[in-house]
Amino acid sequence: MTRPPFLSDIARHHLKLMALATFLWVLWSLSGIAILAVIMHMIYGVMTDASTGSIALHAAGLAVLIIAKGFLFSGADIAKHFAGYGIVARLREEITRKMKRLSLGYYTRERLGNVTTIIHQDIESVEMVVAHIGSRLISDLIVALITGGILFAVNPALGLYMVSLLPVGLIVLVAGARAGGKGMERTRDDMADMVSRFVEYGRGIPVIKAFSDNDAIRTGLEKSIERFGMSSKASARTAAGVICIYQFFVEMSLAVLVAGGAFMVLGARLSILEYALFLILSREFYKPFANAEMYWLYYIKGRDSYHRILGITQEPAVASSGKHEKPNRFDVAFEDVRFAYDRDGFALSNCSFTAEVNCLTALVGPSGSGKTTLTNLLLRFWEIDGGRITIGGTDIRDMDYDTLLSCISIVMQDVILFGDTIYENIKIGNRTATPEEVHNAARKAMIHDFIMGLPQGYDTLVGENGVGLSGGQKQRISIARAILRDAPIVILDEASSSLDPVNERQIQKAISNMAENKTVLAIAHHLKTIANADKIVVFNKGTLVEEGTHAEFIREKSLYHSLWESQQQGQAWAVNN
Amino acid sequence: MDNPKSLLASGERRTLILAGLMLSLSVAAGIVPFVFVMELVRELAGPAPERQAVVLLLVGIVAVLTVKAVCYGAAHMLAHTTAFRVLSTIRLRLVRHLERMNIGFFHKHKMGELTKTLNFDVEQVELYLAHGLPEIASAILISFCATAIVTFIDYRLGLCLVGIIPLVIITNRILQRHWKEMFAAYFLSLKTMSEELMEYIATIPAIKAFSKTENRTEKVVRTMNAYNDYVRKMSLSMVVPAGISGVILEAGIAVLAVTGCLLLRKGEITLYELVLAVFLASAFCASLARLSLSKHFGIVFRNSSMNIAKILNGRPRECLFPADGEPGDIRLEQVSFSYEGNRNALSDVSLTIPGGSLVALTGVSGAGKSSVAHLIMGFFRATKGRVLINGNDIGTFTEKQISAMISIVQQDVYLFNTTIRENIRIGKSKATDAEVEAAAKRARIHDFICSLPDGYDTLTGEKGTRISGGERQRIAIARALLKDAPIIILDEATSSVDAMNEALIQKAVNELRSGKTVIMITHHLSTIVNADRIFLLDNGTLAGHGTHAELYRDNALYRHLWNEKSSADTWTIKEAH
Repeated sequence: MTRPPFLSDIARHHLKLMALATFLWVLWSLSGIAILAVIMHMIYGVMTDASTGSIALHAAGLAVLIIAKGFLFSGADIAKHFAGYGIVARLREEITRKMKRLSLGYYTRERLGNVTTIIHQDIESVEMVVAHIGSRLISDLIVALITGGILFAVNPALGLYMVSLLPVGLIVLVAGARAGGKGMERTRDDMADMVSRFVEYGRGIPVIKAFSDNDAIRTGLEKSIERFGMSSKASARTAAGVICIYQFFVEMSLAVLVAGGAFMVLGARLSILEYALFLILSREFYKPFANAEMYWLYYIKGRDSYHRILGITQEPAVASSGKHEKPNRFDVAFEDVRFAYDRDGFALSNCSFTAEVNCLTALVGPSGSGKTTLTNLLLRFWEIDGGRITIGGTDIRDMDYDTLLSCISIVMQDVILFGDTIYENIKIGNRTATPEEVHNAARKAMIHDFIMGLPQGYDTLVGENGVGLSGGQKQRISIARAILRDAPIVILDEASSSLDPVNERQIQKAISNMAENKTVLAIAHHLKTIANADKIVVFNKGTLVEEGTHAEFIREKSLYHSLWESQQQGQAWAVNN
Repeated sequence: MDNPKSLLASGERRTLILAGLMLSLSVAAGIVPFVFVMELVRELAGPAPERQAVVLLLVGIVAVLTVKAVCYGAAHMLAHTTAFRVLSTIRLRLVRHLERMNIGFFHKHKMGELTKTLNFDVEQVELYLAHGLPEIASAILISFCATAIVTFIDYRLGLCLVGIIPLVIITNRILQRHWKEMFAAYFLSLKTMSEELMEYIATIPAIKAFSKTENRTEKVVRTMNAYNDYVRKMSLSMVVPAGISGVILEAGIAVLAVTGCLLLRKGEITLYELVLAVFLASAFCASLARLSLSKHFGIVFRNSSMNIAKILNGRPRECLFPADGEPGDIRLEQVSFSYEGNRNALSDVSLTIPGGSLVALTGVSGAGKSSVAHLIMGFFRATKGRVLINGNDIGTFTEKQISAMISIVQQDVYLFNTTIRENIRIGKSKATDAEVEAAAKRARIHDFICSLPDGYDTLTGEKGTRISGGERQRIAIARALLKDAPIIILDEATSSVDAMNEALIQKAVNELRSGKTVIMITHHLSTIVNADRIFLLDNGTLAGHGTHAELYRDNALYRHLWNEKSSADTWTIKEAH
């Protein structure tokens, strides 16, 4: 992954405001110098001339300059803030849009703690560095160049004294930066570890409480907290040490200037006025150097943050072949499909079968056999390693990803509802739907009556901050969504598990309503529900082992047959021995 | 709590005071060279500069700068070391405190919010302690020293500096009030936006599925833009008072310079005194400016400490007196209960579960089955009525005592990011490997574990191997077997698993039964026909109880559920209409 240098990459997008901010800061600094110069000139005037008018004139000049400086400050501050907000807004939006385009595999791999840190902290630290620190740094450098140039022109020898020890200081700083970088990296890793352990701890709190005898999880978290404390302390101490030594060298450069100048004055090689000029202006010259350590700290922080942001923005999204084909038939064919997860042993090998239009194709097998993986591959949550998947003869990789997804409705085991009204949650299936259509979909999904029974009806808020719905109710809302969407292909995944009889019955009706005249791929654990499927495909440990109908399987001795048998037993079971 | 002192131990406070003193010393040492330089210039500008005096002054400058560097370094080392120790301490306190909170607390405070506090808010304490406080202390010290010296030169010049202070205080007051409101609104809009973003991440699978029709992405982007507009407006309204306060400070210097010139002309002060006073005045003003900027440290810190306090001030469950005795009957006496002021989840429920019996709680989703379990587990308190275990009010037990009495196997089994072995050992921390494996065998999960490449050392959780629901439940049963508590609650334990797993879980559950009180919470009616007693809940009330035969005969709702179940059992996806 190539990483563009971060300052220039970020600044490029916000060049005008950044340039404006920098320019105003330069003027602001120069106005400060001008104020000092006017004061000095006023004092000089008093020493050489006795008229009061000169003081009044200078005072008026000062007043003008001070007000101008106030305006310059306000302008520069606004420009810098606006540039910063622009950066934050752009990065946040970029990441948000990117998140939508990433394959789902990314989210299981990346710990939530990381994404949270990036969105909460990293973007702001990039903003801080580029907008707030960057504009000041550049303007300080420009002012240093101006003042340094003037001073070198006045007396080149003393100019050299002025910069004498700066290189040594900068070497210390760079070496320290290198050493500190490693420490920062550790600190960051320790922090990510702490956050993810804390999230785990919070999620697992019911278990931890139920088994309060065991404190392994808490101890692990506590150790992680202490580890993070230690490593952040260590890296802060290293940084403090480096900064201290560096600043010492910068100040010693000033001492060399003072001493060198003093001897030059003693030797009559420098006038006292020139010496005074050096003493006054060198302050402005040293400014960027005196603050270099702050700039450095922020720079490192910003660069690290930027690289973490790039980790998301440069993550490959779902690839597009550039062909924008649209299928006109909707039979789904898996041809020699191979796939392996990168982190555990599971692999899917050479799966070939076809799901025909207007047919119910059931995927069956013990848990972990690859049924859900297969449908996830059809949805391109992950990319297949070999073979191809086609819809109406078109390779799904030759379709726009959005086109592909819009052909398919999914009724998943985990229903995800948005923190919005029930109405909006259903309408997401078809944005142009009329209220009438939304209500009809809800009716078909057997949820309309329930919704109307709520005090706020369709305007009831659901999701994290909304009303609590049961699993069955959520599922029916998601089915209403799918009915509204009316996609030609339907994937049913463990749709009717964990429900009470009343809910289950209603969901069954809803599903039957939705599945009419579609290409249906059903992942069913309850074999009886798919006993009359047009085709049953049986998987075991990642391979397709059987393909046929219920009647065919029951006649032969097959894996399906044994699953059927054990399920029949399960039906008759009760907790009593 | 919103005062930093309560977050510090006395030793830490002493170290911080020491750090402050060191920093002050270095600040004082920073002013001295300037006086020396003035002396140097005076000497050099004099009619007969003495070489020895010049050298002495130069040596003095270098010595003072060295002292400054050492003090500065030491101050930062101390401040950082202490600050990070404080952070670890606060984090540990938070974690320990959280463990003592009711489950209800975790319903009220989202995980994202808690994580932000642990990570981000606590970090702000470091910023304040290691950077904000020393900054403020040194700024105050510099302005004090500068005023003292200037007053010593001439009291009228001193008055010019002192005269600025009330003006600065007034503008600061106005600024601060303004900032406080602004920051409160800012934090609110930041919170809204980051919550939306977090929801976006959580719902990304659904967003991808509906990528053509979903409007969530645009909504999040809109929220971010609104936030962006808001912060722009905020900085526009903040920049004017900030600019004015800058102008006041500069004006102070100018007034001092003009006054000084008038005094100089009258011959009441010398040129050198005036120059010194002008430089000290600019140091004074710079410090005051930094002081008002540091206010923002304080505001952020106060906000963060409030978030920390919100957690630490949460009241853990109280324990009146420890009860003893073997748990026998469990009784609910006229219990009513609601989650956070929602409508009653239970109203006026009375039931008795005899010790050693197998009972079932059943009913449709939302009937209140799980609420009964939550009350028995002590996760929540009844709003009315009493829950008694063996005749003792549950409120009189400590959480540890309750958890020692009860094992729970839930529908969603949480696995920690550790090995399977450790996940089972949660049940009993001192269990030997042999005991862990024996429990796994009885829970019918041993064979599955052995089939994994790393066996018992296989990692689970977010980064580990995917483990299906049924396998998770058997791991949870192994946990419960290890724990060997007298009461077992099975909360929808067999609800969402495939046929093969269901049979295995049933066998594992039978292992749990011997001589214990078993409470099954389920809507799988077929699994409870042999229970000693069935409690049928409906809409938060007890709709009937008895054996299966009694209920089927006498209870219309129970019969209805059975009939629904029977038609659900014969459902197929392709349903005749």
